[in-house]
Amino acid sequence: MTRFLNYFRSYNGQVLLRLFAAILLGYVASNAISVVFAKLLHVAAGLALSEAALYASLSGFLIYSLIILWVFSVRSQKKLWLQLSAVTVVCACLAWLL
Amino acid sequence: MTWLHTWAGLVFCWLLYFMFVTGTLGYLDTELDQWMKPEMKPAQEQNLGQDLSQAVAFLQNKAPDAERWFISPANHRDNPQLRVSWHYPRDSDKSNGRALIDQHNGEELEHRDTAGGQTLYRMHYRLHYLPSGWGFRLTSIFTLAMFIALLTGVVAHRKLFKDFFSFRPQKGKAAWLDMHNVTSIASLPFQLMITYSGLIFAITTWMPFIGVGAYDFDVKSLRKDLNELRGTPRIEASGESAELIDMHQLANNITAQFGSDNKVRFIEIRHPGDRHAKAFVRSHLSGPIQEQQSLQFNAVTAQLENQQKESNALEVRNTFINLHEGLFAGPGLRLLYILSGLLGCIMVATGAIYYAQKRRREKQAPSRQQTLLDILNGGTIVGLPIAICGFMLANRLLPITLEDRADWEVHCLFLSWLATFAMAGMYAHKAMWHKLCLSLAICLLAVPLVNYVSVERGLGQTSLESDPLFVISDWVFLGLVGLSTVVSYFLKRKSLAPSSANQRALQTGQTV
Repeated sequence: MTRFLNYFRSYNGQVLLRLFAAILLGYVASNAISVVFAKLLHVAAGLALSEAALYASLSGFLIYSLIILWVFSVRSQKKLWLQLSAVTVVCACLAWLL
Repeated sequence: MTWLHTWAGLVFCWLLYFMFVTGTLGYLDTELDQWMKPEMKPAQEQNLGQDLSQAVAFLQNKAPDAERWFISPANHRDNPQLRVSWHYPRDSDKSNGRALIDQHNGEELEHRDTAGGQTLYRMHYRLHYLPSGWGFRLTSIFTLAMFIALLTGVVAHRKLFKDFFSFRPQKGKAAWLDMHNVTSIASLPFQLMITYSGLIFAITTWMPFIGVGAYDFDVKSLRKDLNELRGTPRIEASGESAELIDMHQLANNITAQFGSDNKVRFIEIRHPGDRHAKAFVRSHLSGPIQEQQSLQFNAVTAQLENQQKESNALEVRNTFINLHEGLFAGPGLRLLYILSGLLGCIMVATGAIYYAQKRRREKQAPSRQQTLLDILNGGTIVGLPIAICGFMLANRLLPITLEDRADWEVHCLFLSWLATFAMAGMYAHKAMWHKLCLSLAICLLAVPLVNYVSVERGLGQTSLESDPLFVISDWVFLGLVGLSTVVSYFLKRKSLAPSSANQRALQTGQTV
């Protein structure tokens, strides 16, 4: 078990964790952010729901890519996981409420 | 960022190179199609009504019970011939089909069974030999990697201007880096556009949850809204039969709307022969931002029904898609598209070569990974063009009566590609590059020669005015032969020249 955990302290393990954060958590986060973006466009900017959903979908891959870039630019792994999870949870809640 | 740039680039570079090369050739898909069907007669000039009634007569005979007919009149670069296709519902056991129609007699146009430029162009987004859907899922992942490589590349080279104006041809690996920089920066707007618009195609595949989430998981109303926006509402057949309107009358009504006869890109007839039959008309694009005109007619009464709803978001999406496909591009702009695509190919290739060179300088003796890198680079960068020559040669050389001939053309492409990898493996390191370039020159020369022997069109047989496509393609091939011979000669001289360390030793009179 400790050997397994120690792997994630090694260089390769750190890279693997970061890839995991970028690809999977980043995917969830970008979807949550985009849904909030769509709902804000609909509620606050008064766009038709279909238009808002389309605009948000068009920017989805941009948001995902920027999150991946951000994941690889933050120094601390702990900070990265905490912040990205927090953003995801907050956006998911907002999407639920809006 | 440089780390991410290196790895996002390196892991995917060979597949990205494949996508760039086949995608760039996709801007010549119709031209390649014509080259690969040399016995095809050029289309006649006739008006829309004649085209439509000929197509409908053909379809009523061939597939009267199909759910959808598509008709593309012969009026544009994309449709050099009158083309039809027919589609059955998904659960039907009948198979869909398509045909080119001979306007002289209304029969199916005879030509050799060929994969054509369309197959080559489709490879850039759905690869080959993969179950349907999987190729596209993969290529969209590569596209995302490409987009990230572009963004990180911009961050890594913040001194854009300085990099752009520095080129050190005599400096070995620095020259590769400079070339990588010059080609990427010169074509950066194109690369960003083509990559991001490529991702736009993948929204429904990889990002469906945004729309679904925005609709609070009400997929049904999402789909209904989107169909309305696209102007393709769901239409159920009534089950009662009714005669289709006269196509000359429909053509007149379309011309009245579009103001011109030759603007129709295609017409879709849904449920032909049914009382609820509809005809959807799409116009050609004259520019990327021009909104695509679409009309809906009742195909029994010829009455114009609702036109497409206005949607800014859909227009933004369509602009991306139109820019990617470049269907609106005339000859000049098409050439620019091809040049930008070639710059993209060079960008990917020089990046891959630079990485291999950098590793080589760091370690003196070539390791096993080094050899593998060299083989992958050589076999992909020079091997793929050789394979495409093999594809075109197969079109001329395979027996006309061969079963599954079109499939065999593609097999020939991949078999000759495999052969170039074997060759790269045989001559790994020094001799590989110039031997591959020489083989490329020989294969490029073989294409016009075999064409000369097997077909009575092209240089020395038809004139530039009467048959521009075949004559120009011969010139292009001969030009490329010259280019790859010169490159091969310089590479050979370089590989035979003593390395700089040896040279220094010679100058100082020491032995190494």
